[in-house]
Amino acid sequence: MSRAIAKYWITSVMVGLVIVFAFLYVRPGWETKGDPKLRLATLEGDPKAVANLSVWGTYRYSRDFNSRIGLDVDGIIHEKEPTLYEQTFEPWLSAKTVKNMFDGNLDFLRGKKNYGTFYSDDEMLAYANTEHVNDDWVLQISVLDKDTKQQSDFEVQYPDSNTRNYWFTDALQRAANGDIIVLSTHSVNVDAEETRHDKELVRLQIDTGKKAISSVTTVIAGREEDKKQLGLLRNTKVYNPMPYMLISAPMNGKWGYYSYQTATGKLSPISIVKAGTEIPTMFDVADDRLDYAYTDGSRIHLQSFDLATGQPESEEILIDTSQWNAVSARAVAANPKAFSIIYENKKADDPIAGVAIVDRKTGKVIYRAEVQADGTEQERQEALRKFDLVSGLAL
Amino acid sequence: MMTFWKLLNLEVKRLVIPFVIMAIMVAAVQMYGAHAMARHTENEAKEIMAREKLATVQQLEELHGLASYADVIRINQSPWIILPIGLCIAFLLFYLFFVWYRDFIGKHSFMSRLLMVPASRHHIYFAKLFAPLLVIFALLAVQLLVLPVENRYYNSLLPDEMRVEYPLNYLISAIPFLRKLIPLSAEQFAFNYGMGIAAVIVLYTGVLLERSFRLLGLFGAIVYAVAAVYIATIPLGLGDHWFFYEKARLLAGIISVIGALSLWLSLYLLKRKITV
Repeated sequence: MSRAIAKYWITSVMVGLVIVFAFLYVRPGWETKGDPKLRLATLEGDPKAVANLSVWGTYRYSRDFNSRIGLDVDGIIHEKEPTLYEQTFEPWLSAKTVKNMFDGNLDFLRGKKNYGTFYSDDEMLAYANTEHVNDDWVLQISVLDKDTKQQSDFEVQYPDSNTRNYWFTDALQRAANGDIIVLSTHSVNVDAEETRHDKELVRLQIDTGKKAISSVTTVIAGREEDKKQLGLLRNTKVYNPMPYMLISAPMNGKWGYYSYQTATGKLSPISIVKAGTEIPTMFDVADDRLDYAYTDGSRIHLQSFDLATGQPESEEILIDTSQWNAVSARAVAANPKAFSIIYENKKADDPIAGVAIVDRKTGKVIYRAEVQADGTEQERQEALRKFDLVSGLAL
Repeated sequence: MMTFWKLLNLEVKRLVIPFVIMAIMVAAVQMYGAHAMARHTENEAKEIMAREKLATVQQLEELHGLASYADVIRINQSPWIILPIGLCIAFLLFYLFFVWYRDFIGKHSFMSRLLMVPASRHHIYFAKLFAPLLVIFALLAVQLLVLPVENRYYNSLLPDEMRVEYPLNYLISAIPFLRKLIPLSAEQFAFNYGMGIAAVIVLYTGVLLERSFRLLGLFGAIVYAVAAVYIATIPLGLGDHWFFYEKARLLAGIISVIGALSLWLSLYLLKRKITV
């Protein structure tokens, strides 16, 4: 062996360099060297009470390099490079969504536009997309019966084809009789310069058998103002069955929120009392309940509403995160048992970034953790200052 | 087998001097680039601090952030990095022709001696295929070794408080050209270099066609190369009823078939048709 290496030493050096390359390429460390020593540390409660003990945020490594990183109790989690399969669907649909909702029916996604809207329930997959074709606004519809695997693709024409006005698909649902319900935004130009638009949210009910629009109803109409958009709150790419949706629109001269009953088209104002200074941070709609949260600095106000009546379901819960030296806080998620919140104080000597899960009835902390850094005092402060929480703990 | 190693050693030996020159050029030019970038960063910081009357680097960092080596090479798409790599690629492209034609030059060409070696002629082909590939991957090793050194050198030229630590994969992704050469996912790496190796095999087939049938062979080589490129690009023209990953897999499949077919044709030409 050594004689062969001596004889072919030049080739051996080259092969050695190729091995060095392979080692440098696959070794762990390209992603993590230079990382701050950040981790999530439990401060209250039992970590076993948390479904997934990790959070996501952004870290500002340098002037132009912000990276999305995850944190758990062991340290930093880096996102993996997407595979070719993942690149196919992301960023508009995550590989997880594709697996959960289209597994076995992947062919349904063929030829669909990434700005289209999808719907999935136990029996049906549906797709709707608005396009401007030959001076007409058309709604492209695809419906798949999951049992029979029968797919139907067709187009219907929007009622207004004026090219100075715009249509956009917002949401997709299925009616009890099997019709498709499409909620679309209709933006109507009101001046010659095309600078101002009136908006209306339009409900189109589509008979999939006849492949035609069976009814068109205006849900709500009004003129948008700065930073106030008329329409559905919490739009998504893929809709599950939603008995109620949430709409933001002008209400007696003031902006407010409505619940929209998908089956009947009934619109009910939600009695959210607004002082004007609050910053809404969470509108979580689940079945017939809205979990609403706003913040006025370090205090988070949480309340649930019955979307059938628009009335509060519970007393307001107040979580004051100043007890943890936070100056800003927000709720990020809710489920029937708990809320997930984030709190921060960037200006503290040791900047604070914390997450907690609180009981939705009592407001008491079930679990609380803060981002902590290891190293010298300067390293710790710098690492914490450059990190911004994006997600809280998953519920 | 020993014949192959001997022939490979011979081919690699012929590439050693160009390799050493290329490795030194890449390292030297990029290190000089790191030096120039560090000076640029320092001067820029001084200018901003003077203009905005900032007393400390910490204030500069809070307002503008600190420029890492990756930031400055990304913004400038650093010619100090792209140029030496580009020159290496240009030389290696030229060498892929030269590796064959050099041996055909002269009345008593070296190729006639090679073809008389009492062993399978496949060894000649594979030695000429693997030698440039070894050099390419060895140069990539040099690049991966030099990048962190450049980064450290850049930092060493800056005051302590202006130094920035970050994962080195950002350094690679800062320049799209570098990211193509060293993709951060193994799947992409296999895809890029698989295509590259298939392209080299097609090119060798073209050379051997020309060497086997001269003018007619040259015409055949051009037709073969154009057909190979045309067939390989078919998946790219498929509509949106094909998923991206399906197009990529189809492309990989087509390229594998073209590569295998070209390899078979090359070995056949070398064994049966080549004349000196």
